[in-house]
Amino acid sequence: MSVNNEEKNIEIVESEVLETELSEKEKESVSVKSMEIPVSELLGEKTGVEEKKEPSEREKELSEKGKKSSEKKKFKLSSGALSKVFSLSNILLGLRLCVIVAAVVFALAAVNYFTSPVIKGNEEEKGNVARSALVPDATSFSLYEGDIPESGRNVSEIYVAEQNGDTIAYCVGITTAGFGGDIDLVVAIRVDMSILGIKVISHSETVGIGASALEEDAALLPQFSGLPASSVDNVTAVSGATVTSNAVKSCVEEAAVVVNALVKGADSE
Amino acid sequence: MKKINKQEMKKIFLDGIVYKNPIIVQLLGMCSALAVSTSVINGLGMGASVTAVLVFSNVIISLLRNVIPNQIRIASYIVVIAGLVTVVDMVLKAYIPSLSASLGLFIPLIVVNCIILARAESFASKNPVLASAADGLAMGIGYTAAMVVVSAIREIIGNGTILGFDIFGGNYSPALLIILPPGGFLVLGGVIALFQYVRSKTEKKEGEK
Repeated sequence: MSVNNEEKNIEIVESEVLETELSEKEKESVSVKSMEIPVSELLGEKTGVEEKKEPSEREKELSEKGKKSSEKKKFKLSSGALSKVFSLSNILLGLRLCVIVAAVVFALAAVNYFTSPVIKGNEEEKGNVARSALVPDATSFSLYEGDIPESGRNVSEIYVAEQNGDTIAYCVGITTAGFGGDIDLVVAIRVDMSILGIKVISHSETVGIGASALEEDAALLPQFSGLPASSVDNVTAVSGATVTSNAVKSCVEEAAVVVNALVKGADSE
Repeated sequence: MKKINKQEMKKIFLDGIVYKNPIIVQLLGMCSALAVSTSVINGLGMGASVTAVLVFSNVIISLLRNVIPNQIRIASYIVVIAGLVTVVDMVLKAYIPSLSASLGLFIPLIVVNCIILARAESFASKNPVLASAADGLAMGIGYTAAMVVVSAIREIIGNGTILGFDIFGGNYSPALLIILPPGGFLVLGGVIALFQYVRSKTEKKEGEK
């Protein structure tokens, strides 16, 4: 893109920041028109590009306007300037842009109508597959409808695994910060506080290092199977992937605290 | 409507794939090129998505080129491109979720991929629909070809596989650097250098003839 275009784009942002007195409706057409005002006028500085097309009266008002946006200066736009800003041609330009946007939005809504149920179905399927793999002897899973205990700050959802009506385990969906971004896990813990296993739903760990540590057959995740929740500390981290390993361990610990609270709550009922 | 002849078509395709290859010659859209080209499957998937967006955006903008006023043309192009990319993103999430997961953030980033806006501004806004569609397709093929070359090198050296198949047997310990971002720069730079070398040699030969 040419330098000219880039400057114009910056100008649109600048003038939107400086508009303090105009209403929302008017802002749209103003930002279109203000494409022709150089940044130098708005900021009162010299940037070296001259594009003087506006009468000097308007420039003076705008350089007043061009103080820092934190200073709430009350100023009056003369009726002459207003009528130039909201001239018919500019309003028509704004309207034509609106028409194009409306057409695109309509097309997007149409596509979304068809794809959104499929996407939801995919996600549910993924969750079901993960949960069934973690708790193979469960006959049904149901979403836990109650309040998630306060100790579960990173917990996104909990599924109750039932076998013929008896709760046998909890599948805790938990998210935490890994090395390269968030790691989404599902931790399955039995009601006797032994860990069934962990499934990684998504992560952004480094290929070959953190990502390899999170693989099903790597050294980290199998250590958790059958482990009592109290001895998570003894799990050995993967060398070179300490942050990733510790993130997984902290997730499991938090899930264990939450499941403990749920089991105690269920017992006292 | 101006009819396009075979000669012009040939020029468009040669430009897109070789002489004005968006990654290797024009050096556009490098961010996604570097980040996604870690395996041939990803490179092909990304290339296909960019090609789809390029063709459709060029067609739509070419159809609207006399209707969009000059002052709001960039804003309009961006709206159209963003809409198209969102459609591609939704379709991938729904019907090819594995590809969507591995390409991740870089599908929405196609919106700011300079190739799309550059072709819209420099070609589609000034040329009839068929030529614009051909240009979009040619640039997309050029992008995909460059991506596949870079991805293949990075996957073979950095992972020991090609298209997911082990080629060195299980014991190959990969040069991880090649899969990580620095490797992307190194491999891409090498490919561009090689391309320029070959090109200067062939031009020299043709000059001597």
